[in-house]
Amino acid sequence: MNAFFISAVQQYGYLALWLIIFVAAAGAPISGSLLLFAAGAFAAFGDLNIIILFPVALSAAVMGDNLTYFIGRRVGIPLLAWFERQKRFRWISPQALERARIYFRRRTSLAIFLTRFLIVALGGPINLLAGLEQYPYPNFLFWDVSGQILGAIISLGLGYIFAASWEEAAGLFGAFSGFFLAFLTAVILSFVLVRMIRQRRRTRTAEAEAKDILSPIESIVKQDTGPLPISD
Amino acid sequence: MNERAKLGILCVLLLLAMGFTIVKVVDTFGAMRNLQVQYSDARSGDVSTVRPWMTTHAISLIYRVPEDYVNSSLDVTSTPVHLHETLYEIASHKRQPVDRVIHTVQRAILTYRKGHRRISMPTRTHLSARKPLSPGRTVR
Repeated sequence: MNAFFISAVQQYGYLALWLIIFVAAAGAPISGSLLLFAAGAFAAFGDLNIIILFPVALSAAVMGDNLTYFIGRRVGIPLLAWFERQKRFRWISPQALERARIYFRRRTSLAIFLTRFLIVALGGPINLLAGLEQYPYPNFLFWDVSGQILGAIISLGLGYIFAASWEEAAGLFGAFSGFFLAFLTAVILSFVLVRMIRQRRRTRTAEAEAKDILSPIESIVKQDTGPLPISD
Repeated sequence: MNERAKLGILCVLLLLAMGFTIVKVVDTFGAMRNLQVQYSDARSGDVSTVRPWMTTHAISLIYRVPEDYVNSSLDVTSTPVHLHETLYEIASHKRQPVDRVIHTVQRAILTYRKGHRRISMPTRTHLSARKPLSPGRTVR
């Protein structure tokens, strides 16, 4: 599949690259980043121009991201309402869903930025979610363009520098982004675990303290609850 | 779900994430080494680094062989239409496996070097083998 797209870029140049990057950014399972590495290498051999490549790649990626964002914005709300109505998804409680949405809302900008160049595979779903959550469009555009500029510089630049070895450079970058994702997951899970243990300990201490306070009162209450005096 | 079960699931997930991180660290180091080896091989003009994405123009630049010579070895005419054809495309036009086309290019480069001794490029000893000399990944 990649060989076909790479050949298309060689044959039809910037137009083919723009279309493929646009479709990839819109969420199609195509590695747009890999294609940018290849395009960078072709620029090193003089087949394409790196100065033209940069705006072509950037505009295609931003347009693709915008498309998924607006799809999320338009279709997202009815989709979420349908999801909440479905009986087969009842195992996800509305509270858990709400908590996840709050968590996402707090970190949307970082998620948009990182998924433009480092965890590219999650770019499409993040765009959809950002649209679904009605994340402000100017903010989305800012973080999207910032991330895509970095993404285009990294992919095109490494492809241009390593030229004949661009595949291996892309492999290294992919391995590194996989490592970053795994590390990030481990760090987040560690934080959640530590917080949970602390909360559990705090609850237990509070329970013990409450027991200490209540036990003398309970004993007094027990002593006092003898048979009620009968008045004549 | 009670608190203890949640804690247990979280511990399992954390262990999985840590294991995955270790695997990815190993992968990253492997990819780094792979890049190092491939980069130095390509710089030295080793023909085992010929890949399906390469055009005859790229081959002529990397391995310092005239483009017309590469084209003629592949029976490709040097027209502007064929200028941007990758080996993958040439193979599909010829209805040949891409490995065979790569092998033809490798042999052509080596033959050219034999005839032009002044271009000193290191070559591997197992070049006479029938199998194409690109043991690494291929773009498919």
